[in-house]
Amino acid sequence: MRENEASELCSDGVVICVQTIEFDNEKYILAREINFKNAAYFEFRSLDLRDPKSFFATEKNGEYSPVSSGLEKKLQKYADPLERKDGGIIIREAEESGESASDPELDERLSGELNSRKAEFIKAFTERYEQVFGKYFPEKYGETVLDNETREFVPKTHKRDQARNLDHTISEIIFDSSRPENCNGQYRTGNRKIAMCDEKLCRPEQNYISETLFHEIFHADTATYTTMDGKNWQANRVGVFTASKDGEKFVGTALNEGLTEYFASKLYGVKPNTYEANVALAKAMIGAFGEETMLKACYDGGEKLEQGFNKIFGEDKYAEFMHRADACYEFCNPSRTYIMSQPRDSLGSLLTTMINERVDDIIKEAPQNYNEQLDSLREASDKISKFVEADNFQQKRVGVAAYETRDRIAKLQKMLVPAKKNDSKLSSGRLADLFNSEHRHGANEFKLTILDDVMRQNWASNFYNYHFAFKNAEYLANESDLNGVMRGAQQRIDLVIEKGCTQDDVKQLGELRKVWEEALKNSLVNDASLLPSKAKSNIKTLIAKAKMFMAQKFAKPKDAQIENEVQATNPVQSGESLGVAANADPQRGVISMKDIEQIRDTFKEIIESERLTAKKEWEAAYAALEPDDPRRVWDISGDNFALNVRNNNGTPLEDILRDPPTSRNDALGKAMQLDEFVMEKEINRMVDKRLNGFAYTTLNGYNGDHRLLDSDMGKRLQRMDLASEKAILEKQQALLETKIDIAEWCERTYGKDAVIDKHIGELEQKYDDNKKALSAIGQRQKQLSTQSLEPRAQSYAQNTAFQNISASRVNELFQSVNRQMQQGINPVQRGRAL
Amino acid sequence: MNKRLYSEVYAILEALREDFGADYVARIPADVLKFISDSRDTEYTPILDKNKGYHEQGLSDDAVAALAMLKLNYLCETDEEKAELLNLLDTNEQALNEKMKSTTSALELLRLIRRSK
Repeated sequence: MRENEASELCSDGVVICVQTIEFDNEKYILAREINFKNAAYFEFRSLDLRDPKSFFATEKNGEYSPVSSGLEKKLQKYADPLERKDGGIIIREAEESGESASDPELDERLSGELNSRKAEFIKAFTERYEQVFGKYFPEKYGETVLDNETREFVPKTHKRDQARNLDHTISEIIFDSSRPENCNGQYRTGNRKIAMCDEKLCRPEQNYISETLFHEIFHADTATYTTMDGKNWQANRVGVFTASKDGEKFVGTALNEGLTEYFASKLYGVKPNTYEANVALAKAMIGAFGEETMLKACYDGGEKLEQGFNKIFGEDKYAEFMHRADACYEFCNPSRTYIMSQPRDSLGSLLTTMINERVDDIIKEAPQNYNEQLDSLREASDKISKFVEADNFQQKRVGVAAYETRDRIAKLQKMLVPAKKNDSKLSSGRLADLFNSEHRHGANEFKLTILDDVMRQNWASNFYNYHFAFKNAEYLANESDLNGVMRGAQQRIDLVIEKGCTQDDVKQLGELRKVWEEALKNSLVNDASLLPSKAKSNIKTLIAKAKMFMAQKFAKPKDAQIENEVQATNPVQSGESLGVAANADPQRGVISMKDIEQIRDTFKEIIESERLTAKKEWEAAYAALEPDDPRRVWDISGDNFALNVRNNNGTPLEDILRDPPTSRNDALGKAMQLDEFVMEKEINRMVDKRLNGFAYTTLNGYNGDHRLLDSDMGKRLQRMDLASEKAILEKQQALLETKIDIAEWCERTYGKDAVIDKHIGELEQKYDDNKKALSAIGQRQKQLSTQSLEPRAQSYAQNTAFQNISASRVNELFQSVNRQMQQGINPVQRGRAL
Repeated sequence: MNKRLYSEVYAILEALREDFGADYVARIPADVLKFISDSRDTEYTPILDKNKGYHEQGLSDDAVAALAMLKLNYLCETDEEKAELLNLLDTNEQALNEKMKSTTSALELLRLIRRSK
């Protein structure tokens, strides 16, 4: 009997096997289903799918039955029409496919040779496996697998008992695909590498114990089934390294080869020399999760990896990770030439970002087991940091981010974890240590940022924002005296934390911080000359009152070390007394809930009071305006006047612009203020948002490589980036227009002035520059949008689709369609007619 | 109006959805899309080749004109793009008129008239 079997993977993990059987001088071809879903290994058989009309019946439990509808559907592309006979057996004579008869003598000789080689190979492979990976498999596994011989499910064993399984696996590969005379015939397996193995194995002079064979055997050893696209076999494990149910799965495919090459090379004792990008990606995963985890994932499936990942990063985060990793890996399409470090760097960066995001969540959610969770994250972060260190990452920012993340978690833990068990208070001096500790950006900035974490519970969404948060803090600290005072008051809160308080207190302090922030906003509004001078001075009074209030409330005896640290860490506050030292409150060691509520209420009262005063003054000023004064358009309704000025339409920009300047200097000041405050803030926010996308940062990291930029993904990202840049420039243009309007209005109202003229000139110059930049962006956008499109779409984008269409023809069609759409609203007519 | 025209327009819109994304086609009002969908010949499904431009797909001139109309009314992203398309249509119109004036063959003239309408 001669056998010729082909298989195809069905979506549910069933392999359809097709056999050609010669029996009583007649050829029969049959199909059968074999469920390999839980099998530890699979069969490689000689294949021939060149005879597609060879699927007739399925075999189950030793009996043939008609093909099921699902199977029939699968087979239809090969067999059309299917023919059946009563009983469902077989059955149709195969068409002549030029098969050559086998040579029994050759078979026997080869069989003998191959058996000895097989034994030798198995010995070498298993010994190496035991040496290299044996430590990971100390015990037998409790799972069951399909035994290849008995077709029964038996307890699954691992490498301690691997030789038996391996023997079968290799025997199938070698025996069934190793007929040199037929290498180009039906016995040739689809996988090129397997075919290469065959040749080596079949030629005595070749060293058949090769890296290639190690690689393929590792595939065979780990894969649950094979897939076939009609040409190529591929060992695969669907669902292990793939996460999203739809869309492309670059990383899944990449890791399959990458991990195999990595582990097989390690077994063989050489460095990986193929699938470089895949290996880089695999190394990143190994670096993050450990070799043992990844090796076992090759055998056990991704479920355990997923569970472990989700345990550290949160529910469904593995799926998200794989999805985002796909976006990274799209840059590193293995079919292209690329820089090998890129996938590894991307993945390292992604993992770091996700750790930071998880830390954000923990800070926000404040779960009971936060410390345990932070421990896991720190462990993951440690692994990444070590990996970065050991593997000399190309992108330094990845390394910086990894170390910063590790430090961030460690310091958070240091700050949040009680000193002793059952001690819910933060120990004294712990924060002082923390603030004193060396940090990449300096202790002071780190202090501000870490306080943001705790107080505002609103850490920036990823580590890139960290730098912006820092920048903003620095900006605020230097902005004005008023803000400096506010910051100084904030220092008092710092001291409270430092002295020790419960975590509930920290939460409450977060609310107090909101009150502070509100006052801070008002101070900015008033500082921007939006209120009459008296109101402005009132706000100053408010701040002063606040300062005094807080100083009294949080006063403490002199503590030279801490006091010096606070002074040293507050550049604005340095040298300014907050009145904290001398008149110390003996109870200052603990801030109570009552204290916090009192502080908050007092602040609210002061602020409300000042708002009402300001509103009254403003109403009086409004009433005094001439009837045609443009300032008459201002809306002064509403009780919360000061808030209305700021929040009526949601953004500081609009609020400021709603109030025309009251003098020339005011106008200039307002224009400058727009430039310095609103524009900066607004545009920084947009820039921040632009940088926020991981994809962009990835692109930005690699923008020196035109091949990546030329990829479809690269073009998509460039388009996104250009759109962001365009939006920022448009925003700037709108601001410039407004500023020019203000300056011109100022000139019209108060007369010409050289300073204003110069200012207008500068603004107009900047406006023109922006206009040119916008035009360049538009052209680049158009270029990009058409470059990456299919020819079909390109013709449409470039209007070549309409090269034979005349205006009158479109008009006529337009009228015709209109007539047909007489009923109801006519959307075409409503549109922009020709 | 020929039902096959709408089948072709429908197929083009499907292709546009594939090439430019769902949001792109969604710019066309839903009732217009519904009208096209309702008016088409469901038995006729033109097959478009991804490797050829729209003008090479063997679609009827009416369908391409309808596509031009839809692009002009709803799908142009900027005023410049719209002006560019209008300019192209006008140029085509003028070229056709010139050709009609200069042609001496009655048959050719008929062809040109047909193309212009």
